[in-house]
Amino acid sequence: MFRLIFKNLWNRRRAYAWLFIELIVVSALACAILDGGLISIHDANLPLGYDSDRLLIIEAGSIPEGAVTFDASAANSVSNVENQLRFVEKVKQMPGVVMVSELEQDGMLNCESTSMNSFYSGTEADSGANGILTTLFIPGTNYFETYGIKSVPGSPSPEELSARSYARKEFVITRSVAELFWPGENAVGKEFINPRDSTVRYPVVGVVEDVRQKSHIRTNCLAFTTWRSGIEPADYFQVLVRLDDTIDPETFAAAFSNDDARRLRTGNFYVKSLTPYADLIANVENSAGATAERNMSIALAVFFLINLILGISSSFFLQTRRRIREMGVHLSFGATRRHITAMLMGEGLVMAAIAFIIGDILFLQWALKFGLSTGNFMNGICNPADTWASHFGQHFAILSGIVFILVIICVLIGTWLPARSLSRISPVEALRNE
Amino acid sequence: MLTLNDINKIYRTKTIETCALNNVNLHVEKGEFLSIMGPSGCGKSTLLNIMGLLDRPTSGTVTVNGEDVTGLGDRELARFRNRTFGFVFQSFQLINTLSVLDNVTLPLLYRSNPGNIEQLAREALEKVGLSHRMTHKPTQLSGGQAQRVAIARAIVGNPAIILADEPCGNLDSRMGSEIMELLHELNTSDGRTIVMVTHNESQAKETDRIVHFFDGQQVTL
Repeated sequence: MFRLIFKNLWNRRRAYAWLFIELIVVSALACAILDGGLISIHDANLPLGYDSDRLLIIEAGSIPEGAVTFDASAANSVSNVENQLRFVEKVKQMPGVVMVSELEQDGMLNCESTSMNSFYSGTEADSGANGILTTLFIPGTNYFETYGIKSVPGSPSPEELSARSYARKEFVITRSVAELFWPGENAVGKEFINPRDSTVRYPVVGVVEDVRQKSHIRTNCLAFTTWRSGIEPADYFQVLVRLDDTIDPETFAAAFSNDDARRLRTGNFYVKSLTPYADLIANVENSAGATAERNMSIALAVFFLINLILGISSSFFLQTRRRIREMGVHLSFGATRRHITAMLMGEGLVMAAIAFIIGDILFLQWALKFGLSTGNFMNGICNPADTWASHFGQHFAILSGIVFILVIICVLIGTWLPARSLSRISPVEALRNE
Repeated sequence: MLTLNDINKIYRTKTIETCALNNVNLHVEKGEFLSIMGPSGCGKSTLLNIMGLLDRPTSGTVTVNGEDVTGLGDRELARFRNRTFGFVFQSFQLINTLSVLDNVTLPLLYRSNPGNIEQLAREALEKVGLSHRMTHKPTQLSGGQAQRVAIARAIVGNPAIILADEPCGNLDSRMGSEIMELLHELNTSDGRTIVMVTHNESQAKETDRIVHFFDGQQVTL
C-alpha cells in the first residue's frame, strides 16, 4: 500500500503540483501565524511563582473628613497606624483567613504599574548593566509567606525575609536575577552596583524562587525592596489575604456581608472593595490588552486552521473526483472502503509531510533572519532561567512539532471527507464514471 | 461453481422503475467457457456484475462454490472478488498513471499473504506475452496489448473464475482473435472457468455454451 501511495503521488506529480505548493506555503504560514498564539498561550500558562488561587485583596479606604461618620480623634498619624494594624488583625481573625499582609502602594504582584532598575554585578564577566523589575513591600507584614513565595536553599526562609529589618536599598531577588548576575553562586551577601555611581552598592539579603511580576509577561527577573521600616500613616491601603485551602476566594467574596464590613471598620478605615486575586489578574491582563491580544492570536490561528481544512478538503475533493473510475478498478479487484480511504488519506498525509518539511525549512530561513515570537517579554530584561520559548532551537523544534501535528490533523480531516465519500461509491457506478 | 437463483435486478428512480434482470437462473460449471449474448441493454453486463459481486441483485441468490454470498457485507464481498474473480473489461480499465507491472500487481495488494508480488506479476505478464512492456504506461500500449495487460491482471491472483465483459469490443478483428486465443488457452490449459459477455456470434460459438438474453430474461433460441 505504501509503495502504491508513493507511486500514485509520483505519477500524479503534475496534477498535485498546486496542492503541494499550497501545502508548502500553508505550512510556512502556519508556523508564522501559530507562533504568536502558541507563545501567548505558553506565557499565560507559566507558573506565577505564588499561589494566586487562594488569595484575595481587601482595599481599605478612609472616611473623608467632614463626613457624618468621620472620627476626628482617629485622624492623627499615631491612630492611623494603629488602626491600620487593628484592621489587618481583624481581617486575620475572619473565618477561613490563614494569613494577611498589608501591601505597599503599588507593591502588589501583578499591579498595573511596573518599576525597573539597572545594575552591575561587579564581577569581571559582567560586561554591561542588566535591567530587572522591582517591587516594593513593607517589612514585618508576612509579605513573602502570605503570597506563598518560597526561598531557595542557602537563603533565609520567607518568614525570616518578611520579619527582618531592612536597611535602605537591600534587596530580595528571584532565582533568575541571581542566575543573571552571579551564575552558579549563592547570591546572598552579594551586592549590586549602581551603573551611574560604582560606590553605591545594593546588598542582596535573600533569594526566592522565580516570581512573575505580571501574569502576561514572561519575565521573572524580579527584585523586592523596601523604602521604609514598617507601617506608615495612609489614607488608603491594601491587605493581601491568604485563605484556607478549602475556601474559594470567589465564594469568600460573595459571602462577605455588610455585617462583615461593619465588623472590619476601624477608626476611619472601612472596606472599600474585596477582589479575588484571579479577578485582579484578569483585570490587569485586560487593561494591558494581553487578553485581547491572546484571544486575537488564538482566533487567527483557529481561523487559519479551519481555512486550511476547507482548502485542503476542496483541493483534494477536486483531485479525487477525477479518480472515481480508478477507485472502481481498485474495488473490482478486492479493495475495501477502508483500503480506498487509507490510500487517499495516505497520499494526503505523505504529501503534507513532505510539504511541511519544505515549508518548515523556508520558515526557518525567515525565523533565522527575523527571529521567532518573543511574546510578552519586557525589553531589556533577560531571563536566564527561562523556558524553551526563549531558546531558538527548542522554540523552533517545539513550534515545528506542534504545527506539524496541526497541519497533519487538518490534512487528515481535509482528505477524510472526500476519501470517505469516494469510498462509498459502488464499484459498478465508479467504473461507469468517465 | 457459480449459481444464480431467481435473480431480479430493478433500477428505481422517483418516477421510473426499470427491470434489468427478470428471474434469471443460471449455473456455471467449473472449467466451463460460457458466453452470454444479447442485444444492447438486455442486461448482460448487469448479470456479469452481479455474478462478479460488483453489484447486488434486488432479489435472488448468488452461490459461489456452494456458499451463498448474497447477504455478505462489503468486506467479505471484497475478499470474494479478490480471491475468486478476475475481471476483464471492454475498455480495459487500466490505471494510466501506473506502469503495466503496477497495474498487474493491483489484486495482490489487497491480499494478506500475497507472496512475491512482483514475481507473480511478471509471470502473469509473461503468460500474456507482454513481459517486455512491464515498465510502460497503459497509454503507450496498443488496444490488444492493453487488453492483454488486463487479462494478466485478471489472472495474477489465480482466481477460479474470469468474468470478461466484451473483452474484444474495443479491438479490431485481428486483436480480438488474439485475445480470444488467450482466453481459450486460459480455459483449456489452466482450467479456468470463463464467463464472457459478447456481441460477436463467431466468438461466442467458439465457447462451450451460449446463453442468450433478451429484455432481462434468458431466452432459448
